[in-house]
Amino acid sequence: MVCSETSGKGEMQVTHTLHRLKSDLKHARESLWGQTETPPADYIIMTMACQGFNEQDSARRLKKSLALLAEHTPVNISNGEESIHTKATRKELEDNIGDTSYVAAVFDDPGLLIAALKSLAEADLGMSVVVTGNPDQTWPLIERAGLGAHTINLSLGVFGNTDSLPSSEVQALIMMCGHGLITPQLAERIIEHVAAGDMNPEEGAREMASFCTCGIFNTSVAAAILRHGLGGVSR
Amino acid sequence: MIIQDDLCVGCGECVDICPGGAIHLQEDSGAAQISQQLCLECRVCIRWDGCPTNAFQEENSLPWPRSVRRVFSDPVTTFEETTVSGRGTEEMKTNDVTHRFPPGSYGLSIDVGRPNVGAYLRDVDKITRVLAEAGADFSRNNPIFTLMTDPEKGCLSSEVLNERVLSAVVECTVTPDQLPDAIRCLQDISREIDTVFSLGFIANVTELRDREALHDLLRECGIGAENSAKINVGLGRKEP
Ligand code: SF4
Ligand code: SF4
Repeated sequence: MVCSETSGKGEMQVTHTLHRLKSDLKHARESLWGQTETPPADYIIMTMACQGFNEQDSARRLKKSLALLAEHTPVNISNGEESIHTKATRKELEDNIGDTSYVAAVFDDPGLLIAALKSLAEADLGMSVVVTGNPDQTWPLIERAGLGAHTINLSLGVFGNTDSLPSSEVQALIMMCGHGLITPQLAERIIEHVAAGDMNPEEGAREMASFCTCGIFNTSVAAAILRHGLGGVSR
Repeated sequence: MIIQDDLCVGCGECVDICPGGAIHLQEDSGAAQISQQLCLECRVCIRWDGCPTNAFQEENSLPWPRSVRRVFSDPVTTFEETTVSGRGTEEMKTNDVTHRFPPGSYGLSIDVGRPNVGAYLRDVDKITRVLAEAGADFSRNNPIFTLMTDPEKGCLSSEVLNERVLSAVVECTVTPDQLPDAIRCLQDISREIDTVFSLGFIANVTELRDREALHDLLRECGIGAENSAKINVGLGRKEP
């Protein structure tokens, strides 16, 4: 078996967006966000070509999808190896896209998800598009964008020695990096810093996001959790 | 991964950022040290810019079988056989192009060690063995498949069983008849492993009657769904 470090170009990556603790928006709205403030949503769009089928010329098409997704003000966006929160610029993200890269963007608002999906559909890039989120929300939103579900991957939960898992609040934060690169200890340290006023919630969210190389960490949700506590977030 | 003793000033800042829980401060010298048994070779520490003296140092290429740690733990390391990084394949994400999962065929993705616990490959071996018994067909492009010495029985090479990884995804397809048994086997083996796994259920829904039918199917298998899912929206085409 062989492995190599990526050069920034030419290799396909797969993120792990599926198993996240989701905000129960209705409950969250009642319990935490009051009448006026809407809790942030957690939706991820990934676009990719398929190896051995349609990867020819996909760098160009991925760059186009990066540009389209960026127009809809995602809270995180990446080329699969680096994100705006790992200190890459938009230009660097674009320059480092290869034929086997993928593009991921995180949205904190249903309207933005619909608009971004419509843009991708209109551009007709021929690449696969995958939406992660609470399916009770995302499935109707996908239909409102004029699209439908083709294949679904449903999370059935966590099994085994679950006593070894951290608190739900910490899980809700760190599971937004699907590769497990944010440790519970780091999240606890940031929670303490924010509580002590040494850091504001947005700074804490950005620090955690800097560990997520795939750029799927939702800084809006993280800042809300750091500001309000866990509240409406439920498994 | 190692920490260069002569450079480390013992500030301890790195201890909390290590996903393997592998870094500790030595009592005598106060310098940080990495447990080679616990280290996942995930490279989080070397990418991190918080060490005041850049004391982390890595080997460019790791010897076999330690090399599997990096393949499964560092998302920016690519598994060359598939050009897919880390621990899985494109599975359902490009199913609109590949039709790997036609209507009526189901997929299971078992992400062992996730979330954030890590796993020895001996626990992955326990899971692949029970899935093989349940008749599961393992994904050929997945790094775990290449570690199998006997895919029919789901046995991993004995050389890798003591390697520790951040997580490893087992991917397989099952027929509708095999699904209840495969899920029951996974529920049973979950009580015998020293880690956790996150379970995903993949279905082509192009011919689905309604969304509730999916939940009915899972209920019949004695399991429920969480409120999180990936949905492929069918925009991919075979030709670019
Ligand atoms: S951050 Fe660097 S200097 Fe500080 S304890 Fe860790 S290795 Fe040593
Ligand atoms: S490579 Fe990963 S597990 Fe090993 S010391 Fe560095 S951060 Fe910890």
